[in-house]
Amino acid sequence: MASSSKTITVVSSDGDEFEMTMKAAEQSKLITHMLDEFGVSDKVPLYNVNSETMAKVMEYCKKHADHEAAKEEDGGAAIGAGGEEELKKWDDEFLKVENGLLFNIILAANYLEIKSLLDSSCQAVADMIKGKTPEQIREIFNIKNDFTPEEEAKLRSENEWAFQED
Amino acid sequence: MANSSASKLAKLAPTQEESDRISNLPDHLLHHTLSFLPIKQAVATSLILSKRWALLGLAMPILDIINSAFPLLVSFIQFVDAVVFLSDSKTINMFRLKCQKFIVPRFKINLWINAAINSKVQHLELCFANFNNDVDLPTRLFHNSTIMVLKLSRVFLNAQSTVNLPSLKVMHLEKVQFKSPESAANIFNGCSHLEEVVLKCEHLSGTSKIRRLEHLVSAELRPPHVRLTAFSNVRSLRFVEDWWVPHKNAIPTFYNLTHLELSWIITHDANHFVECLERFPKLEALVIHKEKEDGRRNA
Repeated sequence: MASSSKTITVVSSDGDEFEMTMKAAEQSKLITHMLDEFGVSDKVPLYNVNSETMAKVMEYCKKHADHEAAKEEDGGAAIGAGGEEELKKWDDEFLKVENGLLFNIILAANYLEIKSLLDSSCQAVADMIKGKTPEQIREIFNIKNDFTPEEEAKLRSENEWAFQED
Repeated sequence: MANSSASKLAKLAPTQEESDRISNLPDHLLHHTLSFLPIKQAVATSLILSKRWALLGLAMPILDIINSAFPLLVSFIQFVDAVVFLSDSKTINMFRLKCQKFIVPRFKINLWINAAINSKVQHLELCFANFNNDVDLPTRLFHNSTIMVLKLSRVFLNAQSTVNLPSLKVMHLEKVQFKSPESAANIFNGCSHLEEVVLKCEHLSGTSKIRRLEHLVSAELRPPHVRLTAFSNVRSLRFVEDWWVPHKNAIPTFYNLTHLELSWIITHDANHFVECLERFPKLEALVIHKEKEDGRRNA
């Protein structure tokens, strides 16, 4: 296992380079595999992620790596429930970005195989959808309604089971 | 350097505020997002949002259904029938059914489980109320190579012959009633790759016939209803009830155990407990809960 003082460099699609510690890099299964395959000395190309998104992902990995290190230090004791709650609050704030960036974070988390970030960011989008009417959801996400009124009526009647009200 | 991922992911265009970027996300990521919504809303919303979303709504790979979300038994059954049988999804990754509000006809439950098995379900969870516990699971369930997680609450398990669940890694059995004395042993002996076990059942018999689970990492058990030898490989062990400390010879050595969590210990002689600790040579953390208090000590 590499020591946490070692760093690696990743390269975004825009050509910018970002440094991250080994512990932060371990947050991503993809980066971990690539390092196992190609070694630490090379720069890791992540051409599916642009710089704006990469910066956010770097921030996330660092925060979560630091949190894990703190947990390991006192044998898992002092972090406790309070620590996990704090991290969740940090995640919520972290994901308060405009929609385009949020979707890019989802794609990046999926590509880089960072499960916790994928779950949090998808949950954030789900929270925007929850409790809203279809019209409101279309408004938030610019989704075009490509049903004619007749098509929508037919769909509703064929799928009554889905629209039963409480 | 080669672009390592000939990725099926769309790389989103830089700035087009007017475009519908969410619908450009790939199906599996939109399904993942929808799985964080109550399934009723997920389906009802996606069906009429747009044509793309309607296709998603009709092919949900995760079915997490609680019957308290439905006002009537009839509407509940219609909904589950539709999502299980009409689905365009080739696989159902997870099927979780919580039926505590209604009594659902047994043949319906069997149909749904069989459909889930046909769809190569990987994660199956069934939770019923007391008055519905004549649910008897289909035998097909016990010869299945795709299922990885099985969590059952208040069902009958009747496993009179050999069980074969080679992919099963997690099994939780709560208030499950075993119809025959061999059932418990047959089930565990058919799951040689189990990594996590929760066993909170009464009237458990035949546990001494369970072979040692070599891949087991964590277990939650009710002592002394269970012979511990089968579970002695674990790294983490939790007893969910007060533990009447036995003589140390009555328990096996847990060579990998580092974390032990107890509810409370009952013994006439504190030395008994100390002697039992010898059975846990690698113990690093011992946690004892007394109601809401936490006692913590490192070995």
